[in-house]
Amino acid sequence: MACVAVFALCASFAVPAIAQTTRPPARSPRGPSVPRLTISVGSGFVSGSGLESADADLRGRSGEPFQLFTTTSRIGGSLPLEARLGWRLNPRYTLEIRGAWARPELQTSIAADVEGAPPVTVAERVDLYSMDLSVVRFFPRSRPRALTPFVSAGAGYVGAVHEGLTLLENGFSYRGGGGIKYPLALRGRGGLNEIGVRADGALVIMNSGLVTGSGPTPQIVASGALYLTF
Amino acid sequence: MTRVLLLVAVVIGFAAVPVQGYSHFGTGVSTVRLHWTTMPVRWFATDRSVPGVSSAQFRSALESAFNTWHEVPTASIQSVFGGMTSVEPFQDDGLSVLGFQDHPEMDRVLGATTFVFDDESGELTEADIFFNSSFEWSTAVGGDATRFDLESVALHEIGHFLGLGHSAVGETEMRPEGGRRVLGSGAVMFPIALGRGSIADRVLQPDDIAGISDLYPANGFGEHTGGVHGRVRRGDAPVFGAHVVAFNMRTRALVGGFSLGDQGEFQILGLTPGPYVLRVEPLDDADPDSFFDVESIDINFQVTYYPRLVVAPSGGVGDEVIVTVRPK
Repeated sequence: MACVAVFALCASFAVPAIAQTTRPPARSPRGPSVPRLTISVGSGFVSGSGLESADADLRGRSGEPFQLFTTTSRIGGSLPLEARLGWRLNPRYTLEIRGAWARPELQTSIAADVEGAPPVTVAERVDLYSMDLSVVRFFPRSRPRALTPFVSAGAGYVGAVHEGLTLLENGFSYRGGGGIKYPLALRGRGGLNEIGVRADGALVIMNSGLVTGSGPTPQIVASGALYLTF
Repeated sequence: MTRVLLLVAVVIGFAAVPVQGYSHFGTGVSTVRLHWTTMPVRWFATDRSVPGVSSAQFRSALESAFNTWHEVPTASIQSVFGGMTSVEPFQDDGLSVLGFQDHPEMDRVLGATTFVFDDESGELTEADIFFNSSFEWSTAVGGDATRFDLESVALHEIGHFLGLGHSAVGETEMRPEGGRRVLGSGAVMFPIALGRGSIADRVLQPDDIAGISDLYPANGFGEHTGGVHGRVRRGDAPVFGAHVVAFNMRTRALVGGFSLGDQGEFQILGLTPGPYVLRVEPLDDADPDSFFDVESIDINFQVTYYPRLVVAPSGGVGDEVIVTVRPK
């Protein structure tokens, strides 16, 4: 229906244009409209990440630690859902807000029990929410319908919640990466301008490790998305 | 009001003396929570010195120990030194007195606490502590390898004085000559002292802090901490008296509780919100009489970890967990 409407509108302008061949076309008071807004939705994969080990220590006779058992924790890999909203600053730079949700498994391996209990791994799923703001730098493409590489860097917030109720951890995250986008369909001016796909890869570093309070926790993120540019 | 004499002790061997009626805080079952309702609690020190400890050093060590409990930020406790006195501990006189007494017959008891309390409400009206002068004591800043540290033992006994029971967060081994030796302790309130020369128990541990905060919560304590609860079972049968320890991987805190309900229920409160490893063990690192005056403690099961991480939510307790243990 949208295609028909656009065609009909152009046809109606075509007739008077022919009748006005003796006059130069009026110059548009504005330049060509520049697509400003991009929305993308997609999914991907976040790698698992090791967290710090934490020993359950008792106080020894001289104050030295006496180990009751050891634990080593990690966040399992997950398939996040991502949504992005981009605002084009100029042809090369876009400001992008990204929100994501994933349900990784928090896994803790327990070993070296002082009373000989066998090693065991215990786990629990958590909801991991993140929101960040990035600057995306697009490189020039040779023609309108071509692969466009980009790089991005940003920072944001990450929070882990258990069963939607308990905030287990929150803090800042930093991400840097890049990717490519490819337009599947290009449209004229106004409204929807471009539909395409994009692939992203990034290194995300959470400033404090989830659960163990360890140092920065790195994760590799790969994702794909469908985008719409208005 | 009933005068109830409860004797709680720090021992160097195994606990030869009964008993105390307060189970660990947060279990919330069947026992009365002993507590002071009027603050500050006034206490007196017997004006008696022993070799190695003058009466002034005795008072100073006690004040340091009281201050350590006062300084728990999540608890609201106040006490005041009433003065030196010639009154002996363990007299039903309305005065809470701490002092040395010579009890050579208690050859494993370093100190003990008695209470006068309302046996319905648990309200304390008097508590006395004696330190057994049959042992050699020290108040040296760095400890004395041949003597027991007075401040460490006082910190433990004052925990009882305030209403805390014994904690089971600790590991021991049998000594060839009898009794038990501490390998590691997770609480000042563990019933067996670390030994001569050790001053490590001048500092409270997370289990002590959770216990005292649960009993005398400061503003916001309940809202900012959480708990875990559940049941311990072996097959279809409840396990009574299992020791359940929650371990927080972030803070490294170990906080314990006991399954004391008819259905093996346990509850551990005062936890920093977050995920925990739950470890269930038989209560076999000290005489069970050190913890409860019951005879049906079940120790016939293996150390067991709950197969999931358990989350303590902020301001509440998480879902009930059922820990199934296997017999030895």
